[in-house]
Amino acid sequence: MARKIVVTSGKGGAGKTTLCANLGLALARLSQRVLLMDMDIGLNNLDVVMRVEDKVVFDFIDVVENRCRPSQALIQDENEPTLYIMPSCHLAKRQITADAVKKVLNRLSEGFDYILLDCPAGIDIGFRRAVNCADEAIVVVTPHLSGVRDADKTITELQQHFIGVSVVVNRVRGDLIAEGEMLSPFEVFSILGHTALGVIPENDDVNCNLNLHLSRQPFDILANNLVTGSQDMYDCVSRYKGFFGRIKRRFKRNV
Amino acid sequence: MNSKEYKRAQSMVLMDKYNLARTEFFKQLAELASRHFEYDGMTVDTYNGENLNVVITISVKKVKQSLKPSV
Repeated sequence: MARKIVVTSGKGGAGKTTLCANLGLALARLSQRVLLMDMDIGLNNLDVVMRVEDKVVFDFIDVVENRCRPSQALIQDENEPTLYIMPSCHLAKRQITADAVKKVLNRLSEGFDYILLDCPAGIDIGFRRAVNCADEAIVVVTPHLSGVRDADKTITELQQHFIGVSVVVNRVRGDLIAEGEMLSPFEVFSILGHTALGVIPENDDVNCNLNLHLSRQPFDILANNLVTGSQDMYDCVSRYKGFFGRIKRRFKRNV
Repeated sequence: MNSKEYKRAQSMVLMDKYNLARTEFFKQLAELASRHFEYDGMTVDTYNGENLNVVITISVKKVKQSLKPSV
Protein backbone atom coordinates (compact mmCIF):
# COMPACT_ATOMS: atom_id res chain seq x y z
CA MET A 1 0.00 0.00 0.00
CA ALA A 2 1.27 3.44 -0.88
CA ARG A 3 1.90 6.20 1.64
CA LYS A 4 -0.60 8.89 0.69
CA ILE A 5 0.87 12.30 1.50
CA VAL A 6 -0.84 15.62 0.89
CA VAL A 7 1.49 18.57 0.16
CA THR A 8 -0.23 21.67 1.48
CA SER A 9 0.49 25.12 2.89
CA GLY A 10 -2.67 27.18 3.11
CA LYS A 11 -0.86 30.17 1.67
CA GLY A 12 -0.48 30.53 -2.09
CA GLY A 13 3.01 30.81 -3.58
CA ALA A 14 4.69 28.80 -0.83
CA GLY A 15 5.99 26.30 -3.40
CA LYS A 16 3.64 23.33 -2.98
CA THR A 17 3.64 22.28 -6.63
CA THR A 18 7.37 22.85 -7.13
CA LEU A 19 8.16 20.91 -3.96
CA CYS A 20 5.72 18.15 -4.89
CA ALA A 21 7.36 17.72 -8.33
CA ASN A 22 10.94 17.81 -7.09
CA LEU A 23 10.25 15.59 -4.08
CA GLY A 24 8.60 13.10 -6.47
CA LEU A 25 11.71 13.12 -8.64
CA ALA A 26 14.00 12.69 -5.63
CA LEU A 27 11.92 9.75 -4.35
CA ALA A 28 12.01 8.17 -7.82
CA ARG A 29 15.81 8.53 -7.80
CA LEU A 30 15.73 6.43 -4.62
CA SER A 31 13.94 3.74 -6.71
CA GLN A 32 10.58 4.42 -5.09
CA ARG A 33 7.44 4.09 -7.23
CA VAL A 34 5.83 7.52 -7.08
CA LEU A 35 2.55 9.01 -8.27
CA LEU A 36 2.10 12.78 -8.32
CA MET A 37 -1.57 13.66 -8.28
CA ASP A 38 -2.82 17.18 -8.97
CA MET A 39 -5.76 17.80 -6.64
CA ASP A 40 -6.10 21.44 -7.65
CA ILE A 41 -9.19 21.64 -9.87
CA GLY A 42 -9.19 24.95 -11.71
CA LEU A 43 -5.69 26.22 -10.95
CA ASN A 44 -3.87 23.04 -11.97
CA ASN A 45 -0.18 23.48 -12.70
CA LEU A 46 1.55 20.22 -11.83
CA ASP A 47 1.49 19.17 -15.50
CA VAL A 48 3.25 22.42 -16.43
CA VAL A 49 5.91 22.07 -13.73
CA MET A 50 6.49 18.45 -14.80
CA ARG A 51 6.53 19.54 -18.46
CA VAL A 52 3.88 17.08 -19.56
CA GLU A 53 1.08 19.52 -20.44
CA ASP A 54 1.25 18.40 -24.09
CA LYS A 55 0.77 14.75 -23.16
CA VAL A 56 -2.47 15.11 -21.21
CA VAL A 57 -5.31 13.08 -22.77
CA PHE A 58 -7.30 12.09 -19.68
CA ASP A 59 -7.18 13.68 -16.23
CA PHE A 60 -8.19 12.62 -12.76
CA ILE A 61 -11.72 14.03 -13.18
CA ASP A 62 -12.18 11.65 -16.14
CA VAL A 63 -11.08 8.79 -13.87
CA VAL A 64 -13.38 9.83 -11.02
CA GLU A 65 -16.33 10.13 -13.43
CA ASN A 66 -15.52 6.75 -15.05
CA ARG A 67 -14.71 8.05 -18.51
CA CYS A 68 -11.42 6.16 -18.47
CA ARG A 69 -9.39 3.69 -16.42
CA PRO A 70 -6.88 5.12 -13.87
CA SER A 71 -3.94 3.76 -15.88
CA GLN A 72 -5.09 5.73 -18.96
CA ALA A 73 -4.73 9.02 -17.12
CA LEU A 74 -1.20 8.31 -15.89
CA ILE A 75 1.71 9.99 -17.63
CA GLN A 76 5.15 8.46 -17.16
CA ASP A 77 8.06 10.85 -16.56
CA GLU A 78 10.65 10.91 -19.34
CA ASN A 79 13.66 10.68 -17.06
CA GLU A 80 12.46 8.62 -14.11
CA PRO A 81 10.58 5.48 -15.16
CA THR A 82 9.11 4.93 -11.67
CA LEU A 83 7.53 8.39 -11.58
CA TYR A 84 3.99 8.97 -12.87
CA ILE A 85 1.82 12.07 -13.00
CA MET A 86 -1.96 12.25 -12.89
CA PRO A 87 -2.99 15.72 -14.05
CA SER A 88 -6.09 17.67 -13.09
CA CYS A 89 -8.34 19.82 -15.27
CA HIS A 90 -9.58 23.39 -15.49
CA LEU A 91 -13.10 22.71 -14.32
CA ALA A 92 -15.30 19.90 -13.09
CA LYS A 93 -18.93 19.93 -14.15
CA ARG A 94 -20.06 18.02 -11.09
CA GLN A 95 -18.94 18.16 -7.49
CA ILE A 96 -16.04 15.77 -6.89
CA THR A 97 -16.33 14.16 -3.48
CA ALA A 98 -13.48 12.95 -1.32
CA ASP A 99 -14.99 9.44 -1.32
CA ALA A 100 -14.86 9.27 -5.11
CA VAL A 101 -11.19 10.36 -5.09
CA LYS A 102 -10.43 7.87 -2.29
CA LYS A 103 -11.81 5.02 -4.43
CA VAL A 104 -9.46 5.98 -7.28
CA LEU A 105 -6.52 6.27 -4.90
CA ASN A 106 -7.25 2.86 -3.38
CA ARG A 107 -7.24 1.31 -6.85
CA LEU A 108 -3.88 2.92 -7.59
CA SER A 109 -2.40 2.36 -4.16
CA GLU A 110 -1.09 -1.17 -4.82
CA GLY A 111 1.10 -0.03 -7.69
CA PHE A 112 2.99 2.72 -5.88
CA ASP A 113 5.13 3.31 -2.80
CA TYR A 114 4.25 7.02 -2.52
CA ILE A 115 1.28 9.04 -3.72
CA LEU A 116 1.89 12.78 -3.38
CA LEU A 117 -1.26 14.90 -3.54
CA ASP A 118 -0.70 18.47 -4.67
CA CYS A 119 -3.24 20.41 -2.62
CA PRO A 120 -4.82 23.72 -3.71
CA ALA A 121 -4.10 26.89 -1.73
CA GLY A 122 -6.54 27.90 0.99
CA ILE A 123 -8.36 25.79 3.56
CA ASP A 124 -11.73 25.42 1.88
CA ILE A 125 -13.39 22.54 0.01
CA GLY A 126 -10.44 21.69 -2.27
CA PHE A 127 -8.13 21.50 0.74
CA ARG A 128 -10.54 19.29 2.69
CA ARG A 129 -11.03 16.97 -0.29
CA ALA A 130 -7.25 16.48 -0.63
CA VAL A 131 -6.70 16.09 3.12
CA ASN A 132 -9.52 13.53 3.46
CA CYS A 133 -7.71 11.28 0.98
CA ALA A 134 -4.32 11.39 2.72
CA ASP A 135 -2.70 9.58 5.64
CA GLU A 136 0.04 12.16 6.19
CA ALA A 137 0.63 15.83 5.41
CA ILE A 138 3.66 17.87 4.47
CA VAL A 139 3.11 21.54 5.28
CA VAL A 140 5.23 23.81 3.09
CA VAL A 141 5.99 27.08 4.84
CA THR A 142 7.99 30.11 3.76
CA PRO A 143 10.06 31.79 6.49
CA HIS A 144 7.90 34.93 6.52
CA LEU A 145 5.42 36.10 9.12
CA SER A 146 2.44 35.57 6.80
CA GLY A 147 3.73 32.12 5.83
CA VAL A 148 4.16 31.02 9.45
CA ARG A 149 0.75 32.33 10.46
CA ASP A 150 -1.01 30.55 7.57
CA ALA A 151 0.95 27.36 8.20
CA ASP A 152 -0.09 27.40 11.86
CA LYS A 153 -3.76 27.73 10.88
CA THR A 154 -3.36 24.96 8.29
CA ILE A 155 -1.78 22.67 10.90
CA THR A 156 -4.69 23.36 13.26
CA GLU A 157 -7.08 22.30 10.45
CA LEU A 158 -4.98 19.19 9.73
CA GLN A 159 -5.03 18.16 13.39
CA GLN A 160 -8.82 17.98 13.18
CA HIS A 161 -8.40 15.33 10.45
CA PHE A 162 -6.05 13.31 12.71
CA ILE A 163 -3.26 12.97 10.17
CA GLY A 164 0.47 13.16 10.86
CA VAL A 165 2.03 16.52 10.04
CA SER A 166 5.62 17.32 9.09
CA VAL A 167 6.99 20.70 8.09
CA VAL A 168 9.25 21.77 5.21
CA VAL A 169 10.62 25.30 5.19
CA ASN A 170 10.87 26.46 1.59
CA ARG A 171 12.45 29.49 -0.11
CA VAL A 172 15.06 29.95 2.61
CA ARG A 173 17.61 32.74 2.02
CA GLY A 174 20.86 31.94 3.84
CA ASP A 175 22.19 35.47 3.38
CA LEU A 176 19.17 37.04 5.12
CA ILE A 177 19.30 34.49 7.95
CA ALA A 178 23.00 35.26 8.49
CA GLU A 179 22.03 38.97 8.76
CA GLY A 180 19.27 38.06 11.25
CA GLU A 181 16.62 39.51 8.94
CA MET A 182 14.78 36.31 8.08
CA LEU A 183 13.35 33.64 10.34
CA SER A 184 15.70 30.66 10.36
CA PRO A 185 14.19 27.23 9.58
CA PHE A 186 14.82 26.18 13.18
CA GLU A 187 12.87 29.18 14.49
CA VAL A 188 10.00 28.20 12.18
CA PHE A 189 10.14 24.59 13.39
CA SER A 190 10.21 25.85 16.98
CA ILE A 191 7.16 28.10 16.48
CA LEU A 192 5.10 25.50 14.60
CA GLY A 193 6.23 22.69 16.89
CA HIS A 194 5.85 19.75 14.49
CA THR A 195 8.20 17.20 12.94
CA ALA A 196 10.88 18.95 10.89
CA LEU A 197 11.19 17.23 7.52
CA GLY A 198 13.46 19.50 5.50
CA VAL A 199 14.83 22.84 4.39
CA ILE A 200 14.80 24.02 0.77
CA PRO A 201 16.75 27.16 -0.23
CA GLU A 202 15.35 29.89 -2.47
CA ASN A 203 16.33 29.10 -6.05
CA ASP A 204 16.33 31.59 -8.92
CA ASP A 205 15.82 28.76 -11.43
CA VAL A 206 12.17 28.59 -10.36
CA ASN A 207 11.69 32.10 -11.73
CA CYS A 208 13.40 31.14 -15.01
CA ASN A 209 10.90 28.37 -15.83
CA LEU A 210 13.42 25.71 -14.94
CA ASN A 211 11.17 24.39 -12.23
CA LEU A 212 12.41 20.85 -12.45
CA HIS A 213 15.85 19.48 -11.72
CA LEU A 214 16.70 22.32 -9.37
CA SER A 215 19.73 21.86 -7.17
CA ARG A 216 19.18 18.20 -6.28
CA GLN A 217 20.82 17.99 -2.87
CA PRO A 218 18.10 19.62 -0.70
CA PHE A 219 15.40 17.46 -2.29
CA ASP A 220 17.52 14.31 -2.01
CA ILE A 221 17.97 15.01 1.73
CA LEU A 222 14.22 15.64 2.03
CA ALA A 223 13.35 12.40 0.21
CA ASN A 224 15.82 10.46 2.34
CA ASN A 225 14.25 11.92 5.51
CA LEU A 226 10.81 10.89 4.28
CA VAL A 227 11.89 7.33 3.45
CA THR A 228 14.17 6.63 6.41
CA GLY A 229 12.64 8.89 9.08
CA SER A 230 15.95 10.69 9.69
CA GLN A 231 16.05 14.45 10.28
CA ASP A 232 19.02 15.71 8.26
CA MET A 233 18.75 19.36 7.26
CA TYR A 234 20.29 21.13 4.29
CA ASP A 235 22.61 23.91 5.44
CA CYS A 236 21.72 27.19 3.70
CA VAL A 237 23.58 29.54 6.03
CA SER A 238 27.21 28.49 6.52
CA ARG A 239 28.32 29.69 3.07
CA TYR A 240 27.25 33.22 4.10
CA LYS A 241 29.29 33.27 7.30
CA GLY A 242 32.83 34.56 7.79
CA PHE A 243 34.74 37.16 5.76
CA PHE A 244 33.95 35.78 2.29
CA GLY A 245 30.40 35.04 3.41
CA ARG A 246 29.96 38.72 4.26
CA ILE A 247 31.06 39.69 0.72
CA LYS A 248 28.67 37.12 -0.79
CA ARG A 249 25.86 38.51 1.36
CA ARG A 250 26.49 42.03 0.14
CA PHE A 251 26.51 40.97 -3.53
CA LYS A 252 23.38 38.87 -3.14
CA ARG A 253 21.54 41.66 -1.33
CA ASN A 254 22.43 44.32 -3.88
CA VAL A 255 21.54 42.16 -6.85
CA MET B 1 20.68 34.53 18.31
CA ASN B 2 17.09 34.88 17.20
CA SER B 3 16.13 36.80 14.07
CA LYS B 4 14.37 40.16 14.23
CA GLU B 5 11.01 38.62 13.36
CA TYR B 6 11.10 35.64 15.76
CA LYS B 7 9.33 37.30 18.71
CA ARG B 8 6.67 38.78 16.45
CA ALA B 9 6.03 35.45 14.72
CA GLN B 10 5.87 33.67 18.06
CA SER B 11 3.46 36.16 19.58
CA MET B 12 1.27 35.96 16.46
CA VAL B 13 0.96 32.20 16.87
CA LEU B 14 0.29 32.59 20.61
CA MET B 15 -2.43 35.12 19.87
CA ASP B 16 -4.06 33.05 17.12
CA LYS B 17 -3.86 29.70 18.82
CA TYR B 18 -4.41 30.45 22.47
CA ASN B 19 -6.04 33.88 22.21
CA LEU B 20 -3.18 35.12 24.34
CA ALA B 21 -2.12 38.77 24.28
CA ARG B 22 1.63 38.48 24.55
CA THR B 23 2.43 41.78 26.31
CA GLU B 24 -0.31 41.34 28.90
CA PHE B 25 0.59 37.65 29.36
CA PHE B 26 4.27 38.47 29.99
CA LYS B 27 3.34 41.29 32.36
CA GLN B 28 1.17 39.00 34.46
CA LEU B 29 3.71 36.20 34.27
CA ALA B 30 6.49 38.54 35.41
CA GLU B 31 4.32 39.71 38.33
CA LEU B 32 3.58 36.14 39.34
CA ALA B 33 7.23 35.08 39.04
CA SER B 34 8.54 38.09 40.98
CA ARG B 35 6.19 37.20 43.86
CA HIS B 36 8.01 33.91 44.33
CA PHE B 37 11.48 34.27 42.77
CA GLU B 38 14.38 36.59 42.15
CA TYR B 39 15.25 35.79 38.54
CA ASP B 40 17.63 36.74 35.70
CA GLY B 41 15.34 36.13 32.76
CA MET B 42 12.45 34.24 31.33
CA THR B 43 11.59 32.62 27.99
CA VAL B 44 8.30 31.33 26.64
CA ASP B 45 8.23 28.74 23.85
CA THR B 46 5.28 27.22 22.05
CA TYR B 47 5.10 23.46 21.72
CA ASN B 48 2.53 21.28 20.02
CA GLY B 49 2.26 18.37 22.41
CA GLU B 50 -0.83 16.44 23.45
CA ASN B 51 -0.87 17.89 26.96
CA LEU B 52 1.78 20.59 26.68
CA ASN B 53 1.51 23.75 24.57
CA VAL B 54 3.60 26.42 26.23
CA VAL B 55 6.98 25.93 27.91
CA ILE B 56 8.00 28.66 30.38
CA THR B 57 11.65 28.71 31.45
CA ILE B 58 12.69 30.96 34.34
CA SER B 59 16.32 31.47 35.29
CA VAL B 60 15.91 31.65 39.08
CA LYS B 61 18.57 33.29 41.28
CA LYS B 62 16.80 32.93 44.58
CA VAL B 63 13.51 31.48 45.80
CA LYS B 64 11.64 33.94 48.02
CA GLN B 65 10.47 32.96 51.47
CA SER B 66 6.83 32.85 50.35
CA LEU B 67 7.42 29.66 48.33
CA LYS B 68 9.56 27.84 50.90
CA PRO B 69 7.74 25.27 53.00
CA SER B 70 6.94 26.50 56.49
CA VAL B 71 8.64 24.53 59.26
